[in-house]
Amino acid sequence: MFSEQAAQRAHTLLSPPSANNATFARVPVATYTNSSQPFRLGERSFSRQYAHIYATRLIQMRPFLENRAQQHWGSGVGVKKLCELQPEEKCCVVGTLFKAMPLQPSILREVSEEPPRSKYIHPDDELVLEDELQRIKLKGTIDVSKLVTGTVLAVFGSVRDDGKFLVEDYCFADLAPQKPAPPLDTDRFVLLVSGLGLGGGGGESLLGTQLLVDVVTGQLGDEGEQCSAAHVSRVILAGNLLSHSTQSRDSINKAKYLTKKTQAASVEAVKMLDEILLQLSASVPVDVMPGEFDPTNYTLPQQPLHPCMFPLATAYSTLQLVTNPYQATIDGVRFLGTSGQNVSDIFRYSSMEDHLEILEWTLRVRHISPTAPDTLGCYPFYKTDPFIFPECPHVYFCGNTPSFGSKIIRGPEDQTVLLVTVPDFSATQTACLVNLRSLACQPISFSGFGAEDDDLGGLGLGP
Amino acid sequence: MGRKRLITDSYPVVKRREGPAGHSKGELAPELGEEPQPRDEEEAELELLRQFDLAWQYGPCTGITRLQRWCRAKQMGLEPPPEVWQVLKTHPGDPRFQCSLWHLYPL
Repeated sequence: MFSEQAAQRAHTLLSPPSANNATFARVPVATYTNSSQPFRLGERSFSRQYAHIYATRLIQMRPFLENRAQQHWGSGVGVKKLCELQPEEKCCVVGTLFKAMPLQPSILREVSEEPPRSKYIHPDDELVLEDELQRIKLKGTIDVSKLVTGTVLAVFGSVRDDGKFLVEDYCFADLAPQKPAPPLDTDRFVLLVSGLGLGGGGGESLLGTQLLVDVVTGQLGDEGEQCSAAHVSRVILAGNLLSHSTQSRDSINKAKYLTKKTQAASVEAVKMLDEILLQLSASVPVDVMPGEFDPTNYTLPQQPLHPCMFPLATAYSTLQLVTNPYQATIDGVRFLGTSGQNVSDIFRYSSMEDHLEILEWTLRVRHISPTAPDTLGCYPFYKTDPFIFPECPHVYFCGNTPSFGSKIIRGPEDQTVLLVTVPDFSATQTACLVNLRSLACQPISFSGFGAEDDDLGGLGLGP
Repeated sequence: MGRKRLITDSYPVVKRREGPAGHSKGELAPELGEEPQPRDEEEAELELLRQFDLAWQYGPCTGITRLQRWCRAKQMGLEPPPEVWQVLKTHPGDPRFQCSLWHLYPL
């Protein structure tokens, strides 16, 4: 992989300067298409309720679930609506889940100033299935703590005398159809970084960021490392470019005369970001996705950061400011990813602990963020729900996770997806390199001190 | 001098026709002349649109115009009745036709 290539070249550092210096041309991106158009908002009208999203979500997902139900439980299984249920008759129902959680933050409890918990699950949580007209409580072989509100699924079982539906089995829409990626002849890498956390005040992470920029632009290391760096064809910054501390709103509570001359912390941080992006985009195409703490709208889908904030870096056409979630086809490989708000919201309301497991689960239910709009802010769409996967990506990532993880999963129709959880750079100093040819992912870690190597090879490589 | 200016002068004067009990519900009694026929047709069209609003198959009707709801149903393959589209095309800009049943209520 990356480091093995570097080791093969002869060492040229600490030798007298030669007449001809080696130059490495960066691999050009053969094809790039940005397919994030569904996540761009045109007119923004908030005078609508969220019922439309749920209705369109159910209508769009119903055919996929009916197909899967027939694959799982035989083609003769009856798919019924809740109003057509007969007691004690085994049938299949397709609907949206709602989890009634006593610990769910509500505005009444917010007033009582409870400290925010990391998980809101409780043994008394109950699952309710809703279809277009009715709702029914679920009991039986269904994992209440793992599932979250907003998931569309098909349950198989029968309704009992107490009015609840006894579940014997259930299934999700599973992976969407996938177009195969064209084979590549050379190794090309895409670097995924998230959580740069600028403006956070930590000098340690700034050094790590500068090292990262130097590695990518080929200013670090010997000819071997420079040659490898030339194989990085794209950099994707997956959110949280600014630190959480730039969002502090202390100045709002203080008196005006105390805060007159203070500047928002994000202004300085954005200037630093502009300089870093300038260095990066002078050398490699960069895609910048906004995250939870970045200056853009709060609700999903987050719109691209405004180019006026980056006067230096926007001079280069290699800088692309993109939406969160972001979808693109790079050299024939479909990428889809978010800055992590969807996964961390599911983490709060589900018993699943591993972010990689949650990422895989969202792919299996065929929805990027089922908890939107219930507990995660979302724009009130009415025409379609853009978070349903129309097609299965080849690389699916999410940013700002506590640790690096990568896994290759297979779908029922031979789909292959590389899942990557990109760790928070300000905490872990680790970025991810995805090899487009072999669909393997390797972490690359930067330390400010010690004689440690730059690259950690052999972790989490696919088969 | 004219009569004293009352605050109610700022409101338009509307004379309500109060018939004897049993007739106050309305002008269903056919009157002679051309006026009732277009009104009956219009009433029938409005009734068709109201039934379209209340049909659960096409999703919620509040917050969007009937045309938007019809187009959404068409795109999703739910086969909404084409007569509704015809009626909506023939009365563009008229809020009684274009907006949903509950558009006067906030959200």
